[in-house]
Amino acid sequence: MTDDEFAQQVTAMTQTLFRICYAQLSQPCDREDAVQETLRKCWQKRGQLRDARYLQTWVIRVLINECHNIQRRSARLRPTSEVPERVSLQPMGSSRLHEALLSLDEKLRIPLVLHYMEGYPICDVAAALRIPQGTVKTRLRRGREELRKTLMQPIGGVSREVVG
Amino acid sequence: MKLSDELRNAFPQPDSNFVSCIRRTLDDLSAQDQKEIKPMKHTKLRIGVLVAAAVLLLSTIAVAAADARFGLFDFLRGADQNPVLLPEASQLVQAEVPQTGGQVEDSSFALSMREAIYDGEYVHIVAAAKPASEQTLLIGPDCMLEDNASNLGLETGGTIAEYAASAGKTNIQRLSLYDDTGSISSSLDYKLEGDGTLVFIISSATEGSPDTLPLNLVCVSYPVNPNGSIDESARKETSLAFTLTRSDLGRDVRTFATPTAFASAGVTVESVELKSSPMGIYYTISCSVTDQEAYLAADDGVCFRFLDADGKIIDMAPGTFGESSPAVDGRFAEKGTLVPAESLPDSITLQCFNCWTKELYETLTIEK
Repeated sequence: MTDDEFAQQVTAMTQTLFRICYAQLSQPCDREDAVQETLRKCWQKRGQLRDARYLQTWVIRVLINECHNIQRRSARLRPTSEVPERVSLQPMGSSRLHEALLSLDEKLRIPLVLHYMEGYPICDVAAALRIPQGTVKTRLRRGREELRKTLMQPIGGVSREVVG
Repeated sequence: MKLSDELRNAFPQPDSNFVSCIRRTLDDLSAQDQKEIKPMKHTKLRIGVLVAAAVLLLSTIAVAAADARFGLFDFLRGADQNPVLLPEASQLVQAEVPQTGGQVEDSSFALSMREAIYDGEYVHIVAAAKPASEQTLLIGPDCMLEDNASNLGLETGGTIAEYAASAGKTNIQRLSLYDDTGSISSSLDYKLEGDGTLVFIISSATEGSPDTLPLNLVCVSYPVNPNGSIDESARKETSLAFTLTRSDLGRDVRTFATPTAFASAGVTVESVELKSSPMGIYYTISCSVTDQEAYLAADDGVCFRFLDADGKIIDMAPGTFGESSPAVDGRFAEKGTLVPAESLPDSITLQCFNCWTKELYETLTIEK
């Protein structure tokens, strides 16, 4: 893979990279740090990638790890009372679905993001998360159930069903 | 509407900073061939992480007084001059260090190492890039023209672009700094002095405590076009080589080797090693996993913090980070740096907790 090909493929992943960061990190500066460090690591090890077809899964895996590293550092050093509010941008669709997604446990949220938002097949999600495919399916199902439960809760006495 | 369609619209579009971060990172990596992207850190991240540790590297919002000349402790102590470091720390400063390089022909700045501390565990380096002319404005690696000028430490309001226009700064150069030897994995912050000198600090843990630490700082500059893009064809690289000598003022080392079980977390602390320095108390907590199920339940989130005699959490030292890795072969270690103390304690109190959920496990005291 040439440097240009690497840059092109990563640039094409901008939305994916953002959504993964957004799903895990509440602060814009953390998201930028995560993606920057991820690109640096992937760039340095790009020669080790045996098959360019796996670049996307690999970058996603590194990014998820990097988000965890940042979460870990922050979690270690920041008392719960000082955890800053998420800096939310304007979602394109339902803000309620946006909130419901962010309220999900991360173990359920990331598979939903990768599979339903990004369209990765279950085998790729499993590879990126290093969990069995059966676990991915379970988390997808549980994630959908949790979403449905949250979204079915009434707003001002009126029930809404968004996720079918 | 299908679930995938609903979900795809549930998150916002990438913001412009995120998009430009990717573009800039790829540009830098491509142009510099794996080199200088390493130290780029975002000021806001540092603030977020370090405030909790009572470490105010909030230097970029400091006021750049006309005659200010920033030294290492201005960065480490932060804007409030937090006196957490021991007075002896000043004895560790290496200022008159022979250095070679720092200037290239037609460059917009000259680079020099101003001060450094290397105590065998951590290195802190202050390097200064002095502009070659009054028309030159040096900015940090993560600065954009539309950023607030206060990000550079300027008192003026408005953006960097507006400041540059009003001050007649027609030559704007974006600088990034890194260590080319690979000896240190840097974090980086910077301040702009009144005369336009851009002062960087690099803080990093070191490996192996060598007696001498040869370093080669490389500063890469790109002119910034009025539209905010960089002129890659005018890239310049300036190297500065010097060697730091370990100076630790005869540090004390103490090991607490009594295995102590934190049963709720499924781990046993096998030993805790403390090393003292005027810059902090470096600690390594070596652990083994004794209950795999309990440990896994924490999702690699088992962490420790030190408590003082009153049960209060002991802060981390300025400019340092804690590190903890997931267990490998049933063992893991947590490293970090506590604020310095006159002497090492005869006993330590460790509080074990889950860094994700904040659930507290046991709090136990270990005697020497």
